[in-house]
Amino acid sequence: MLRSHSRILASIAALCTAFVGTTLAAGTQMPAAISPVVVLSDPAPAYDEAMRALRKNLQRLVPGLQPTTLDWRDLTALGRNQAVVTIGSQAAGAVARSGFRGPVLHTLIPRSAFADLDIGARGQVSAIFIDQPADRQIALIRRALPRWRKIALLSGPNSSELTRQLAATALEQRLLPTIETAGSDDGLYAALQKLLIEPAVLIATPDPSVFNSYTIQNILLTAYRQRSPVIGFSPAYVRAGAILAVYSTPRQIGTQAAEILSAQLSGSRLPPPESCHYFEVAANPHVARSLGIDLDDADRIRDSLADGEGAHQ
Amino acid sequence: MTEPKAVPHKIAEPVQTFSQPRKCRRWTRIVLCLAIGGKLAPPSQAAEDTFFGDLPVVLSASRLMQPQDEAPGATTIIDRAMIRASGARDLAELLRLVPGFQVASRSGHTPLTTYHGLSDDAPRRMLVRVDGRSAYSPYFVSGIEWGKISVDIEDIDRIEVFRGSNAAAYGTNAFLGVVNIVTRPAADTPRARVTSNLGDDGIRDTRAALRLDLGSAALRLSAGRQQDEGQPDLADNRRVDRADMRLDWRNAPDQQIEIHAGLVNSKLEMGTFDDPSDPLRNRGDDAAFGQIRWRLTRSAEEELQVTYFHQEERSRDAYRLLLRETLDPRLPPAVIDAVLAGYGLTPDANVPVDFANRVIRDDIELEHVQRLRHDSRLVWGAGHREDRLWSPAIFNTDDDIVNRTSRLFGHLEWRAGSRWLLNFGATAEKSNSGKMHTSPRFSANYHLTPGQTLKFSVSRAYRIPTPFEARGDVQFREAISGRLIRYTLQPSNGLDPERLTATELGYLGNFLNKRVTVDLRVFEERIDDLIERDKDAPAPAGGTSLLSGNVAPQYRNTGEAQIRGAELSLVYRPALNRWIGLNYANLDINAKGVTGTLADPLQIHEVLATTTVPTESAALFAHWTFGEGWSASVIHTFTGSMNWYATRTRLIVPAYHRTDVRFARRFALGRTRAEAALTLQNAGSGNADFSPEQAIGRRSFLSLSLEL
Repeated sequence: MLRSHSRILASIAALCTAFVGTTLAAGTQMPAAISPVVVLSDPAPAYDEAMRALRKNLQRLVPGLQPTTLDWRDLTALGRNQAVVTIGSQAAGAVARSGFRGPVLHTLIPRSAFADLDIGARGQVSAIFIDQPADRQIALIRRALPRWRKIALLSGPNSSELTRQLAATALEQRLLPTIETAGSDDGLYAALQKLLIEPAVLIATPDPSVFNSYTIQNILLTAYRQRSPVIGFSPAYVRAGAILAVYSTPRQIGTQAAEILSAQLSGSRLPPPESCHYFEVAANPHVARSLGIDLDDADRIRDSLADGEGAHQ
Repeated sequence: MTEPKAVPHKIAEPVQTFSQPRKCRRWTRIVLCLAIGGKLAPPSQAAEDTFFGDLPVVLSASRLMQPQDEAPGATTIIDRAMIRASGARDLAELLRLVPGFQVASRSGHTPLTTYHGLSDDAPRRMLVRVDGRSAYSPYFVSGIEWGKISVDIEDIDRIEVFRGSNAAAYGTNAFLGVVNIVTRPAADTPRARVTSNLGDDGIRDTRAALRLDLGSAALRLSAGRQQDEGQPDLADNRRVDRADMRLDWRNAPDQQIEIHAGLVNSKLEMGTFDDPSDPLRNRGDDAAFGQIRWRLTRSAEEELQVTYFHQEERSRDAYRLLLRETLDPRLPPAVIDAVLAGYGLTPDANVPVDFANRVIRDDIELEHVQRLRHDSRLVWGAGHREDRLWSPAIFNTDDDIVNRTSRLFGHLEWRAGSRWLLNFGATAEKSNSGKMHTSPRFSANYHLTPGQTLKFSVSRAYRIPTPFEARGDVQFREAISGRLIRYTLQPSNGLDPERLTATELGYLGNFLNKRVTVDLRVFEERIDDLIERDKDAPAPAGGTSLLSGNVAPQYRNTGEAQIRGAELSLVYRPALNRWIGLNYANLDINAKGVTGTLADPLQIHEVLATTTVPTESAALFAHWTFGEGWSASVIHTFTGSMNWYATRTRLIVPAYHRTDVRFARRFALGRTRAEAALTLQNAGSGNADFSPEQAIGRRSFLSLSLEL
């Protein structure tokens, strides 16, 4: 008896779903003449990965819809009634310079590069940053290194605002941030010596004038000698020797871009520029062990951060 | 050689420059930049490359220090803050901070160090390594010649001391105790540094260091002079000039080249006041080395490295003894002539003494670290060493003594569940003069809680006799008649290696977020075939000498020793620059072997080895910083009565206390960081640490250090 009831209910549900799906699909394609265009930067694995995720998820959300792709060097095909997604800062710069006035979603772009775009008084422009929000980074430290109170920040020419923001968030979370400026030729050496007199959690920031493939070796080694863990912003940092990193993958950024685009096609406005909702946490258990730090599993840390943010994983 | 790391590590090291590698401003930079070949500027990047770009593995397996609770034995780490706070001018002094070690000064320029006794005037059962290079020089009597280490004490990042036998990791010379000195990477040196000491007993030291940033490489150059007049009652003035360099170059993203070189030139006063048989003179020593290490880091857990070093040492110490001057000066010359004639010697009979020597050492080693599974890691490698020794006075031949040793080592670390860490390791060595010997070890660490660990380890080690022990043949002959005057040491053919079997149990506890550390180790070390110097050995045929008659000392495997004891270390360190610690060691040697001569009332009437450790020793050390850059430190040590191979009762060193105090003030002179300090050594009464006849006086000196 029960079984036959549930069969009937399932059939009704299937019918409803099919009806709603068809209607929605028809509605979005109805195309108020808005068509999606993706502007690509020069080929790179990260961009390809983001593009693939964008296509796949768009297909999932709006079956049958394929975005047009354009190379950043030739934007003559851009026109009205197009929703533009850029991948990478090269593409973002080209679109910003092109005079295109329609809605643009810049993805896979650092916050600083977005700030440098000449957007002027143009219409809807938004972004999904690669950078992680300060709240998330500080939450990571609170969650994974609960005994650590001291936060060390190295500020460079391109990161003074970012380090200030991290420091402010850290203070709100009752941590003790210290900022040193690594400005002059020998500034990084002196700054690190001062910053790490006592062990502290050093947060790496995406300022290439301070953190780059040349300086990272000495930063990691100096921090290690001072028994100070480093928090990176990419899995490469963790592989190099940072104890933890929180980051969003190109696939996650592509997925969120598809979600925004599909909402946009159904009439929503672009959300404000923000970091990706999806993220990963990577951990280096060897370095943790050597520093005598008891570290939880990376996935568990991520899940609990996501729970805290109320994000969907 | 390294191990997995049986000892907290191994070399650290690295690498680059802190400043952006964009320019080669000065001509030196240009030359070096060209020499280094290029790639000095980072490629232009898209902004997001910072996020997606790859980075070299920096903290790779060989650079990560093994946590103390995972080491297969007890370790003590002396870091830079502790080195500086100690005020030490000589590296050997720092071992006073390690429980179980004995430290003394044979003279102002010859420190003696040993772990768990069994010492003599040249203890040779412990090993010192500097950036992976063995500083053990057993060629001519002395085991560790501290004065020949070229590294500036300011350039040391840390000293890792493995308390116990570690032959399983480093081979025969690491029989009892290993001291690993790890220098700071070149890039982690101030751009310029000048340090000076000025004080009692003619202390005048000056040292300087420079750092050059060369894009993908960094270079440190250090040089300095150390001089003093030694101890008040000894002829032991010294002047030591040192130069040292280190270049860290990342030649490819996954590769690194590390070059070290050093030079030491010393002028040491030798001899004994009012003893014509040991005239006052100067000995000249030169030591130089070059070392290159290539490291390929495939991942954080797989690394391959090859290290080669070449080292040369030369020493000049020649004088002539006029035999008539060694006789009682109150005798009339005619009587002296008659005495000499009675032995068939002419009035101008003399003995030329020339301890000139030369040592050339080449060593190459390959080491591979890899992870086998998620819970196990393997370190293995092989090495070969060749020593060429030349010293006609010591070996009674003008030919080189050539010693070749090959070694193979492997260590497997297995993390059995979350609480157990098991370690199996061994080193097999084969020298051209003997059989192959394998020194194995097994250890198990059990984590009672995340902060508390129990350790158990059992090991077997062999110490292959040194060339001096095996082949030393020291004869003093009169120049004109060729008559043998004294036969100090005859060759000790057929000497077997000493064999050590060690068992230990340890407890390591960390409390209050690691501010408090408790380290307890109890152990039993049994040594069979202990090599002792038999002073009464009969001379070989034709070896009858004028002064020693038919006796010619020889080394023999006559001893047997059982060392039992406990070492405790309690440290409270609330911050990196504040600590207070207490070390205590209780040692007991039960031995069989050579005793003093019963007929001589001045001789010690027991087995000599038993008195080579103090039953009790302790150290209290503290360092505290105050506002405005002030700091104060104190090291107080107590050493129970012991002797350093002094066979005569009157040479037993009574128990003594020693206190060293240091006050320092850090300040800034513009952009220069400065520190002024006053160090007071042996602040109590004049104690003796090597022989009661050699009291070490109180000594103070001022230091000034400037860093840019």
